[in-house]
Amino acid sequence: MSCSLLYPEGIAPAAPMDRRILYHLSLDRAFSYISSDEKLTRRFFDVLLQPCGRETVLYRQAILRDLQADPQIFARLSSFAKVLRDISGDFHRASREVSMLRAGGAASLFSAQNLLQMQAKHLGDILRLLRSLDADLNSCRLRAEGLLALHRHIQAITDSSAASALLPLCSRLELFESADLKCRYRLDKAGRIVAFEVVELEEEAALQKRPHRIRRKVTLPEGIPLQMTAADAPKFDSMKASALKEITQNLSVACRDLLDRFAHLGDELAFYAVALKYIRALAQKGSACSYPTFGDGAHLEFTDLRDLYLLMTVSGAEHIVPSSLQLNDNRGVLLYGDNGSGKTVFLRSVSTMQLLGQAGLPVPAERAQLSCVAALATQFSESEKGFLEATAAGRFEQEVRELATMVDSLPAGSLVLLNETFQSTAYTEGAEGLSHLLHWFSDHGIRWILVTHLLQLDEYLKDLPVVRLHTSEGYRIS
Amino acid sequence: MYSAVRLLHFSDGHPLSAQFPADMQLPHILQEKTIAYLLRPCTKEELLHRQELFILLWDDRNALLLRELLSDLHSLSITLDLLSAPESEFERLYQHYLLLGQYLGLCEHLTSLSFLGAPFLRLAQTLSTPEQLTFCEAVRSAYDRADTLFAGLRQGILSFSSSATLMKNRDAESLCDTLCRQISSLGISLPARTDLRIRVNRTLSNAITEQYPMEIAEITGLLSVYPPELLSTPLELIDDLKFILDISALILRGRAAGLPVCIPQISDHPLFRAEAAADPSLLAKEDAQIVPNDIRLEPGSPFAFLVGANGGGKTTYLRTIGINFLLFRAGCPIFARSAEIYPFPYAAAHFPTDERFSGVGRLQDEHLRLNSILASAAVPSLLLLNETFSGTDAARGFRYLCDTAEMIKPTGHFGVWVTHFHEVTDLGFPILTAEIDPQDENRRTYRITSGGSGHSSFAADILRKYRLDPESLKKRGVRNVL
Repeated sequence: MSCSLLYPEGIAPAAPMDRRILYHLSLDRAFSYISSDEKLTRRFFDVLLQPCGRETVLYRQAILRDLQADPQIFARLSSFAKVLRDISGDFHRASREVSMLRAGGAASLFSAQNLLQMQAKHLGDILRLLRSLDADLNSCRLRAEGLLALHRHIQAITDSSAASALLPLCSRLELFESADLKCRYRLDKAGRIVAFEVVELEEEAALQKRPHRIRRKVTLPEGIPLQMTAADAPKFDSMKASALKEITQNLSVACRDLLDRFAHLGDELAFYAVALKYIRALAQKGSACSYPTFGDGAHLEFTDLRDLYLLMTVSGAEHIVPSSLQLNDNRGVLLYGDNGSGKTVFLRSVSTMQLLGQAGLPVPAERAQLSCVAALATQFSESEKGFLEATAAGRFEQEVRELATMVDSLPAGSLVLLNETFQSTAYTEGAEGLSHLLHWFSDHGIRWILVTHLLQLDEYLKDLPVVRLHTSEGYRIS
Repeated sequence: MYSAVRLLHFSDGHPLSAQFPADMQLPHILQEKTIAYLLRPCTKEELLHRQELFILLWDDRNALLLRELLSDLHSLSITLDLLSAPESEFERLYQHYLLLGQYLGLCEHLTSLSFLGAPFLRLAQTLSTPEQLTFCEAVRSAYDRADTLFAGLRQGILSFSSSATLMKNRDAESLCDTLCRQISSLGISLPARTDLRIRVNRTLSNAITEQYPMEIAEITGLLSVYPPELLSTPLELIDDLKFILDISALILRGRAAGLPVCIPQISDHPLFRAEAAADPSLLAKEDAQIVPNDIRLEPGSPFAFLVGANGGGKTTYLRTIGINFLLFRAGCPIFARSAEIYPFPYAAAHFPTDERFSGVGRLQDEHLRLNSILASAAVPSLLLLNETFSGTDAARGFRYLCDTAEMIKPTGHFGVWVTHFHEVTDLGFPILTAEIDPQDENRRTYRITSGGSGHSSFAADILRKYRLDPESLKKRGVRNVL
């Protein structure tokens, strides 16, 4: 069981979208201004590319708001994740040694003892770390359901009687010495030793419970001395090692389970780390920053939206012309306009808003109302690719192939963003071909926005409910 | 204690040559000992008993019972091995005690299988004599007492504090159990614990013996009455059971592959008649196409020549006859829809061998082997000849073939001779032909039909398939060397 800061309970991540979206929308370039940590940004993009529903969006928005309101929360969670990652690294190194541990004499007994001590320390460290985070979160004001759930999840462990019992046990095992072992053997019906386990006799257990761990020679009932031969020592050491290994393996399972429960936190926090940087970057540029609201249907509305990439490349938001729009039905949008009139920038800013907004992030607009899409796909006019590949084809065929993949893979409720598609062939033929595809998209519940110079499409699409927009001088959309 | 009774009985007749199953490719589908059993003759009564047993084994549940019995026998065998070289006195006693339990279990197991026909009924009767029952009762009593005594010895504590000592068992939770309990209560699933299965070493054994002197003395007394050799008689059943199970497994495999299986009728007169008979050796090949064919070797036409296309199934047909005859002769089911077969006292195969003869050539080797077969062959015998005399020129080979055929004709031997000498059609013997699809001569049907001229072996289409026919060879150039 784990508790995610990215997805509410019961919701799993969706299949990731095509990574080329990031390239087409210039998000790779925009975020290079925001975060210099490539690894962190890559994790952020991984989350961005997993489309999510409204419940998840609101879940993340609430967490992000809490993190913005109290920076201590993020600092403590980050610190927890970092220490946990360090323990995890040590633990996995030790686990590899446990798995390689072979029964074989005194050397392996020594290794078994060391590994037992190490894994006991790891389990103790994890439990102590969880207790520390619990105390830290108690001092923070948490409102977001995701953060509250995480806290409850931690408390379920730290407040349990098992954790209270395990902590002192781990402390004892950290100092465990194999020289004083007492083991119980058990033979099966076939007369073989099937169990060889370390036991703590009552007298010793009572002694361990005394304060200050006073060590005293314990008087045990008389036994029969074993007439050990030179060959016996390695055999008994091997059995002792196997008894210790069994304890170590159980400690390892417990460590692994607890680490697994929280292992995702580091990656999830990477998303919020970049998100917080992004919010700060918008503020530095003097840009508007608002969490979009999400409605049903195909409603699209925004006020003073700015293109993120352009924002990051200028000194202030005032240098970018914002755009506003209200569409009650955006099932199909055709955007015409002169070259250099801002068509592609408009498409990019709307698409970026959709992608970031639907990931639970604020958008660079005064206000925005969106609707969730099942997936986002882009087809931007590109140079010819894969010339040296066996499947290399001309530009037009390349576009056709990409669209064919979309047709094969996109679910209903997706949004397709097309930029000057099929202009790599005769216009009439391109328009006719594209019109069939746009019809197919609309007929199958896939929304689309097309930036194009193919004016012939008007005729082909007159039976579809298509919104026609135009860019005009001064980068205005009408 | 019961005196050994074998499940399977054999008669004194001559076993068949070990080369016969090798020519039939049997090592690919049966174990070596099973093949050895197939070669040994048995009486007609025994043959009927075995057939009854195999019919009962068509029910998987019965086959499972035999597999369990075999497993019990193997356990007994392992215990006897350990007893023969014990690490310590404690282990010797312990294995001896186990042996008693296994012997009792086996006696009960064997008695419970009497419904599996005469072989098992005979065993059950031997195990139910008053003498045997009294013996088992005494063994049971000794075993139960030893079991009670050993129960107290199976757990103990070894302390390694200063010097290693053995103490009697005491109540104490193991550290691992304590840890597992706490970890599990956190909702963490732990893997199931696995048993170590370590043999008790001499030092620990001696310590246990010393720790429990009274118990050990009593156990020693109890077991000394029943020495291991007295309890090992059931082991003689292992080979019989392995044979039965190996054959059952082959039958099961054949049925799963869609091959027909039947219990053949035993004919009182020489003949070999089978409907839709198949060659089970093909089961060893992946995706082999197994086409059943009829076999009719009857008094009016006991011996036939088989001609036809390369790769058309001629050798397979010979194996179909040979393997099914071996199975029939050992009382096993055969691969055919129905069959009636005479238990020919002698059967032999003459197949091409690798040319690794010392001092003689291929032709001479063929002669020597054939003469040996014909000299040994009681009348009537079953003879399967495969391309015999193909190791010389056509005229001489055919002349030898004619000579041999003339020798065979009056003897009344049964069999089939596969040959590429198409002139055999004029010798007055029945002719069988490996059939080709009349619509497509590249396609083999693997059907063997009676009659036919057999004037082509259709080797050319095989050459064409591999681009070695004249037209293809003309188009193929030599590799350019740079």
